[in-house]
Amino acid sequence: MNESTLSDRLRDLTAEHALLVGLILLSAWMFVESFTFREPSGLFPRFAAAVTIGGSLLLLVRNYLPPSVQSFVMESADVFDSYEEDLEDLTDEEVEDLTAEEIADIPDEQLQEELTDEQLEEIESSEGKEWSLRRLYDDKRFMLSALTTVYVVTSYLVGFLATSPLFVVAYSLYVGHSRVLTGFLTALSLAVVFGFMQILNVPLDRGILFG
Amino acid sequence: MIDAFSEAIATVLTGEPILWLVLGVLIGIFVGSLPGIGASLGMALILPLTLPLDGVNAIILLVSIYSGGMYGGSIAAILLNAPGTSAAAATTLDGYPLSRKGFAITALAMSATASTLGGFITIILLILISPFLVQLVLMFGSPEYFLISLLGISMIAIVARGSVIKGIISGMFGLLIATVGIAPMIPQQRYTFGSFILYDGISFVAALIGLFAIAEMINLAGEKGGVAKSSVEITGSVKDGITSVLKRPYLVFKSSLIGMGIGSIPGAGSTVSTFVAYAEALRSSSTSETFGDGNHEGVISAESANNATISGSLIPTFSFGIPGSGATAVLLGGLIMHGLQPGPNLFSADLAITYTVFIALFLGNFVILAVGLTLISRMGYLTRIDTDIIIPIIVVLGVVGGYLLRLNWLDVFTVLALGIIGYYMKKYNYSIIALVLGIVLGPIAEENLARSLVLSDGSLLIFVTKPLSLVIVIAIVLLTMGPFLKKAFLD
Repeated sequence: MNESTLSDRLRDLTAEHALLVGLILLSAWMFVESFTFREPSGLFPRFAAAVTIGGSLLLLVRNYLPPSVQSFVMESADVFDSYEEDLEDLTDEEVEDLTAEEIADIPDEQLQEELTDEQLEEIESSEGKEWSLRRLYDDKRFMLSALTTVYVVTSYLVGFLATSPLFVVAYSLYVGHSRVLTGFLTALSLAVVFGFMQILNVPLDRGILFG
Repeated sequence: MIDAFSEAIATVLTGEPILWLVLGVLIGIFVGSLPGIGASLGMALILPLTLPLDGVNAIILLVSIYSGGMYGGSIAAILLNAPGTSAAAATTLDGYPLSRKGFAITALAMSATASTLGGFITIILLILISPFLVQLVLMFGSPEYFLISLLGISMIAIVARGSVIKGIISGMFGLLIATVGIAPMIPQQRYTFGSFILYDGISFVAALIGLFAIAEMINLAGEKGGVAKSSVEITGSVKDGITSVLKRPYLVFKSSLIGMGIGSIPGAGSTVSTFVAYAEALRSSSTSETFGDGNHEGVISAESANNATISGSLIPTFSFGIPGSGATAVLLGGLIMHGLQPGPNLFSADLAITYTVFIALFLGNFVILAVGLTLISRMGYLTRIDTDIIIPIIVVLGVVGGYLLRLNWLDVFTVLALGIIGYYMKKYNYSIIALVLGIVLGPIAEENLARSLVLSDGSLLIFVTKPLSLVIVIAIVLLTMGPFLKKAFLD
């Protein structure tokens, strides 16, 4: 295997590969651990873990499988899928009928409205996969996940009452809400948390550092 | 049975249940009308907040959100060509063309009237068949419960749109998540690291909040623009819409029956039922050539079927604890959270509670009709709410709601972890519903398997000796092989 092929293959790695590897590692650990349980309580987790490992491995190496096995792994066998296909046929008709030149002529905003998420992601991913802080900052999904993670961890430390409004302010600043809207949403989040504290008598103002 | 029904009517007439059902329908219409939000997410967010409520009122609130959400989904479908819920996908086919022709109000009135009638018809049917359901449920012992939960798990093959392998992985991963905690029948800790908070396992309600609320918000955050990508002028006639539905009683009745029948099959759900009803309307229509171009029958058939699906989906959920969709999985979570065990109890000792929910659902249709027809010209506002306004509030509600479930941080981290994992699973077409079915049905299947084997001294013959068990075993084999048989047949 030469260096360029290896780097090409590394570039082809997606979050799905990470998901599958994560599932395999977790299931493998649960499979091994199940042998320490008193029988028959290990039976169920062992079965579920074995199937998860097998299925994930098949998907992970699907591109290297013989065509017959590959079609078994990839093909849809949904007994009701014909109805969804009918809908897709009706809704996608307009975009599918366009030639590449016609698509190129469509303004970006209109194109984004008409193409499916998958098509857009394909276009975006083909534009280069170099990671940079700027790219991560521009990725709203990444930023929401990161902000939510920080929100959960800081809530664990200092409680929801202090962190919930901060999370809302951070997200509002990130997406560029007006000051009025940011103020309204922040007050709403504070009211929600404070309301729960009062109605349910739950100490949402305490984390492990304060409380 | 008559006593239970009278008690249920008396309970509803106390007034409080009506308050919750009106609130539930309004919340449902609101969340249902926002594309990408939907009834399941609304129910998952509200679920932890129902803790202070009486069990009956909590279930009424949840089931009303479900009902309102089903109707609400049609608003964005008709006005924006973007179904608020997957159940409303079939409505877009003729609803949106009607809007573009200047008949948005007519289409919305048809949707409200057909949804209401579909709900009415099927709730009455559900109440009428409930005595037979009682008999059926009482025939079930541990072996049958194990088999019926296995049947639910087998539904993964149907539920999993796309690759069957991906569906199976999702379902099995759900089963694995469900094995954390103390094992049923034997006091054996599994994957607890000796931590006390893991003894009770991973809360499936927290998992639902993560999978439906957080994962969905991460997904929505990446979509370009707000919820509403475009809108049409709200014009047309309410009277024409109502008249159009009332002139087609047979179509409404037929579509409602289709919705209820398919809704009662776990996994099939409202997306399938609405398309089957639509396809049947198309097949039997004398004006089939105008379907897809604003045919009234297209909207009426899809909308009659989607609210009718709710009644159908309550059958496996209440009878056997087998949820057929995301929304019924949350409803099941509500039942368990409030100490109501699905199964024979809901049709014997707790029959009055079951009837109360059915009656509330029946009355909820009046609210749908009233809201649908009076606020029709204002519906467009709902669809224009920007996603970025909704996202932070739903994240706060989801995360705080996770903590409120059992006041432990494990549930909050479950919400976060499954939110992120759920997003990636959804992105790569791994069935979230299959994952939910695995989490929900895993403990039921395992517990009843263990009980059955104790009863039979370890013999597996207990699963085929009774006719009922044998029928379920055959159904499981057919279902599991179904996709492959279909493929072989098509080839």
